[in-house]
Amino acid sequence: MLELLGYDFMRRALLVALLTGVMAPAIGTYVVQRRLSLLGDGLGHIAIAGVGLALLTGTQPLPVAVVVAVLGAVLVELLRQHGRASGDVGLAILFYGGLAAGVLMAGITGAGAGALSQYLFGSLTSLTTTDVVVVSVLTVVVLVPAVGLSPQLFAVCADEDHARVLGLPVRLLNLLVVVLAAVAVTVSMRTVGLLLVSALMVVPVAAAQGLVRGFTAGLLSAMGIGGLVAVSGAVGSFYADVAPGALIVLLAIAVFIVSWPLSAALQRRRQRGHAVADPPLLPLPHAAAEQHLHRHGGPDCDHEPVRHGDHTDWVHDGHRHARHGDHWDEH
Amino acid sequence: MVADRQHPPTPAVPADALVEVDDVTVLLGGRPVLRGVHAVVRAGEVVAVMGANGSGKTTLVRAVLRLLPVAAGTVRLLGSTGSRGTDWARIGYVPQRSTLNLRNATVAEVVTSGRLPHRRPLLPASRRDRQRVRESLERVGMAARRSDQMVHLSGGQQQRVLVARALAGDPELLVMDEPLAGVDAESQQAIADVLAGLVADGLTALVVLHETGPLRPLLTRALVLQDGRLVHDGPVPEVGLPGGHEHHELLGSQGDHRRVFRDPAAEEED
Repeated sequence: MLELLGYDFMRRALLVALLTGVMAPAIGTYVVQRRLSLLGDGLGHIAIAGVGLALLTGTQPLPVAVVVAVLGAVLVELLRQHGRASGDVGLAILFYGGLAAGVLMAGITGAGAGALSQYLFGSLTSLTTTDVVVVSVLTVVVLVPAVGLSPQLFAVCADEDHARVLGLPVRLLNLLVVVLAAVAVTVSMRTVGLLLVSALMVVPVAAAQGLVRGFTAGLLSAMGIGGLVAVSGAVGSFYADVAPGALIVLLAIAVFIVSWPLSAALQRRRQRGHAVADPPLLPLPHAAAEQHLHRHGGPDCDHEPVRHGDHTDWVHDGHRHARHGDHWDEH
Repeated sequence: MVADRQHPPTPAVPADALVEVDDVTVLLGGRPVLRGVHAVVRAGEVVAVMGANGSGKTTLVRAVLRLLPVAAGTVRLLGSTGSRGTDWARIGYVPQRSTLNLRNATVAEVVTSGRLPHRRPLLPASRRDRQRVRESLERVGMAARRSDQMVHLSGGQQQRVLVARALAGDPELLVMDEPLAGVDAESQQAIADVLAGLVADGLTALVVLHETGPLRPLLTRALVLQDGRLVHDGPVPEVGLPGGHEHHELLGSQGDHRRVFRDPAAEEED
């Protein structure tokens, strides 16, 4: 292990692996909480357009890719905030348009898709000192808000409406999450590659959430797991002579799989501590809802149906009711 | 729709009004869900917003809190008409539990987020922040569960935690949306007891309720909505009438609202 540190290129590789391994799950925690686990994958596709543009113009790929991915992230979030991203088609066009544009621009330079492969799958051992400096600076840029603003970001991810009533700038904070995710994705492209980066953002978070209680503990544990698997993967790839990105991601998944039975056992223990049955619900035993002429399930019905035993409940203003003969019961 | 008013102009708004809803119309998907509503909540009042499902109760409080844009009319909250000028630190909000996306958060983390209006970004919670979180949890009887995850609590316990989150911010106006819905009897009583203590200390509250339950003795007034219109602003309607059709029965017996309430076209809107 120590002999590795004798090589300059390996010192750079290990440092960058550690930084990206800690950073990706830090922002990934908010991405997972907002149920945007595949966002990182899409932003990676957009970053490829940046890499292609850099190859075409003969500039540094990392800064150009960061700028392009951040612009893409802003566009994605604005589409989402205006309610137009729900159909997914706009996102698909943006993501695959980015990938296609990147491949096309790389092709025009004559380098072909082969030149992209070190960004698609990572290439830890070919890092320059400039790369290390850029990655270090961008790690600070991501970690300071991801950890420092965690109470605010937590509030927005947990309950947007409540966060608005707390007076938080919800739109700005939502935008911050996707912009930081774009930066983390692009910075991680040299470690695990743009095609695998989403795994480094999501898998350590999933493993940590099962193992520890609480949002902050989950955030810090995910960062720890991410840093550990990234450094282990980088070291392992040196000895086994395999691609570091693939090894890092598979290690992260291995941690998740190992954590599974462990977290199930922990959950059982925590719940046993509070094995008190819920007191009966009020009103009991038979609360009829108010007069009800609307026909649920019809073309003009926008109430959410919920299966409840042998019938369907309909959600109204936060409670559920169901037809019972000639009247409606509260459930 | 805006011109379709059935109410006389509101009398001069009293100086101690915390919430003033003036001729407000709200559209959802192009359909009016509130139509020309006038309402005022004065300091020290505990006002219930009641009405059938789909009558616009939740829409009214969401418009008051600026979570929904108003198509016409004005909402004045703590004297300000815009979101930027609003002093959010004076407001506590207990939303419907179904809006939460909390997964692995602990009780203490959820309640701590209620202190955010009093905290500066990038700085850790102060001693006072931690003290208020502790006191709020004690007040709702959930102090022993502070390290537990929200997902391991019953619906009633989760609701008590959300009340504690609102209290942690030291609000003078508390807005609650169906705080008793799906909540066990013990937690309903706990919430009522907490609210009684706060009201005695001068808290003002606006509470969406399907049934008044143990909150009834605290309520000073009720606003009843029907099909997006305010049809009653005054004493709390009697409860416990057969079949749970209390709004119909009560207002029908008064005579003057009978026609409005029996309008089948209006009820189709639910």
